[in-house]
Amino acid sequence: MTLKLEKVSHQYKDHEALKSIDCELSPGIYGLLGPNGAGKSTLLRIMVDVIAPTSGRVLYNNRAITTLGAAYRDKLGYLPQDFHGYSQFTAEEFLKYVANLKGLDAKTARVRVKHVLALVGLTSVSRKKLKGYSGGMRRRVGIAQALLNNPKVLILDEPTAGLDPSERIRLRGILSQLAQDTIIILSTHIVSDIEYVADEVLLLKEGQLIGKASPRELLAKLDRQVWAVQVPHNELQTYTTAYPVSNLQLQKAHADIRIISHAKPHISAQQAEPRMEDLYVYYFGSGDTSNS
Amino acid sequence: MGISKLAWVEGKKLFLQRELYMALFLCTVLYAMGTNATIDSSQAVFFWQEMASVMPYIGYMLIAVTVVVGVSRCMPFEREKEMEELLVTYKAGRVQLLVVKQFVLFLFCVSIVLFYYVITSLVLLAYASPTGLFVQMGANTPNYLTPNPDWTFAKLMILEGGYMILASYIFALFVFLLSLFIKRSVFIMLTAGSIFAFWELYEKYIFYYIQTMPGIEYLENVYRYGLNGMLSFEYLEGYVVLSNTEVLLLFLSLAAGLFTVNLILGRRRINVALGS
Amino acid sequence: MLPWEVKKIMRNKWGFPAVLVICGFWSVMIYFAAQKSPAHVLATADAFWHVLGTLSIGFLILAMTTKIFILDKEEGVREVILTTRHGKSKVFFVRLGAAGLCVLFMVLLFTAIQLSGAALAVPQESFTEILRGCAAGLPYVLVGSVLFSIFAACVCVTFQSHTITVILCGLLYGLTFLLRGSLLTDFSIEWFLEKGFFSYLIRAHEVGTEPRLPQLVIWYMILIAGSMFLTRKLQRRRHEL
Repeated sequence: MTLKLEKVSHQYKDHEALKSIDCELSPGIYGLLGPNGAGKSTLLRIMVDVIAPTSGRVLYNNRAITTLGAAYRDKLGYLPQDFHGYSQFTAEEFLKYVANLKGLDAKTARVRVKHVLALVGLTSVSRKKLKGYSGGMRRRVGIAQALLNNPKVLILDEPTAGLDPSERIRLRGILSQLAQDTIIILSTHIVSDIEYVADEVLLLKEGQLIGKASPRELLAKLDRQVWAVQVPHNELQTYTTAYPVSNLQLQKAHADIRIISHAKPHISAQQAEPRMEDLYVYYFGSGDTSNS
Repeated sequence: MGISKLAWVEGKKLFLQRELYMALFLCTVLYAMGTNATIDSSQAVFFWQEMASVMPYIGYMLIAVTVVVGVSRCMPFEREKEMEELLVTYKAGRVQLLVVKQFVLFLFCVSIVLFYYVITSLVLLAYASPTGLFVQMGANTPNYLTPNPDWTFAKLMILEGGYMILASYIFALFVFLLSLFIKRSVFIMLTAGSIFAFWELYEKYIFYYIQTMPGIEYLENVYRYGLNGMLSFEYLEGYVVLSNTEVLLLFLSLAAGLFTVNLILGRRRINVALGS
Repeated sequence: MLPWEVKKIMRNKWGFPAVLVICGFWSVMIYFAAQKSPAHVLATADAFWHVLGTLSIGFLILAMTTKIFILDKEEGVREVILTTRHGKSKVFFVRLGAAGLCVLFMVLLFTAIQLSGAALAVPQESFTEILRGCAAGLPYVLVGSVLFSIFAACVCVTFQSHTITVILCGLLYGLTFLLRGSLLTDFSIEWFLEKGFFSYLIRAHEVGTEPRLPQLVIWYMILIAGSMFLTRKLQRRRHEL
């Protein structure tokens, strides 16, 4: 089972959101990483056939998803970035409604709805109207609806937004279990989620795919390049302008900063273990992301 | 941001609604057709006489529609953009913003009333020239109004224009008041529109069926002295015992009262808005 | 799928209060007509769809049935629906079916209100007359209401805005009450505005004797086919089909 992107480009009036993206995905978890405006949501919307690419195509098992139509959607689970759910429906009703649209028969729908509600931890409030749900709870309903049809391609746009840490851990567990025979694409700004769960990371910058590798491979590139430095306050400006900084903590007498640099930036600098946040800063910068 | 800047931004928000222009387009077509239909071209047409007659005949209804459409989104704009909670945390996000919004509504009413007068004059120019503005009305008093025949048309037009602006502003403030209690703009529109339409239909249709009802005179008074009566110039038709100046002063007081009520209720609008 | 869409329409909180208000008005009107004479009750009952019924059904179509065509966008589930197996065009047609069904139910409910009000106030023989008049007008009411719900749905999908739908459809629908008498010349703009936007059909009593009925039928066919065609074309352009 493969999902293949062939020279996918997308143009919004005078802005080129995606520039000739080529990539092949097989079962596993893929983390899509990039700054705001990099084209992540556009790419995901093309992958779910909600918008058509200006050029290029997306193939599922070597057949264009536009041709496959309902057969592709049958295997698809999708959580959009801006999901709310019908506020007048209870979670159970909403999921049953979506199950119906996904073509599940009534009996299967009942079983699946019960299952996914338990999976996202909403069984006890499943008869409560969605208008009374918190942001995180609604997000969990969104995740549940994406899982309803046991999808083979699961695309989640910022699934962890608004979830508390325990729910994020629970989601990671669900995704890891599904990853055996499902292509899971996860877009998030919470880089630690990707670090813990993704088999591969897709790096998207200004509409271009600039990297595709496992987190370990990517982090290996930063080996011996991450430094922890203590600098006096009056020298802080010099370091923050000269190097990409992945963390900054002001203390009384000095500042603790985390720097990415090929050379040792300061005599007292200590080498540190690279983390995904360092990787993010390395590729996308720490300030004005559009120019980084 | 100073008050004038805030007013400019609020004005921009109000006047740049595409829904408003859609309604304005339809209303203008209808108004032009209606104005055209009132003129009997087989007889001599007096420009200012017709000009003063059109507004109480059909103009007020279309002004009401335009006001409902324009004002309905004035308050829910922030709510629908999920900005309201943020807005009330700003220094000028409560009372000052409400004052500015209601002030902008006044400018909106002035513009709409002037717009319809311009449309009337453009239609009437096809039939007569705009002479005789400073001539006494005499036997040419307009329909639907009972002005002093010794007045000049200029004086009548000033009174009618001022009256219409104040009446439409009171109506706008009423719609604004509704918008403090109803969450979505489309339902504010439907509610305000239904209230206005109901009393119009009462006067034109329903009254016929229930005229024998005991206490019908109370309903008549509700129509005559209520929002519909204000907008349809009932206060200038001689039913009301007040003089013209007293009517205008009454309207000013009503506007000030509604303005204040809106301020008091709107200040804590997060708590009064339905569904919050 | 249809029952779910019907459920969505019926969950609208404006439905029940609107029906209550209409029942209240109707009771008052019938009561005072009955105080005068059975002939008055007859005339009042006959005029149910003339104003009250037409406006009520128009309000409910705009506030309730049309809402389901914009709910996905308002509630942030549009993309979820578009990526389900039965998404896209099938959903649109099922929703049209649900809207039509609900409108049918509303018309029948109003007819029941109309008849029950009259039944309480007139003798048996007069009631038969009311029943006959009601049966004669009902097909027009049903056709007009269902067509209006389809037209409003198309406008809503085209503009992707409930507000614009209410303004546009509300004004066009309400024109029948504004345009009268001297304005009307056959096939003029005014004629189309007065008779060509559904309320004329729903008011029923005039359309039965309308001399230009065949032309009017052609106009409605063109209007509905045109709006459906435009809607589907726009949906296709937005990659919704």
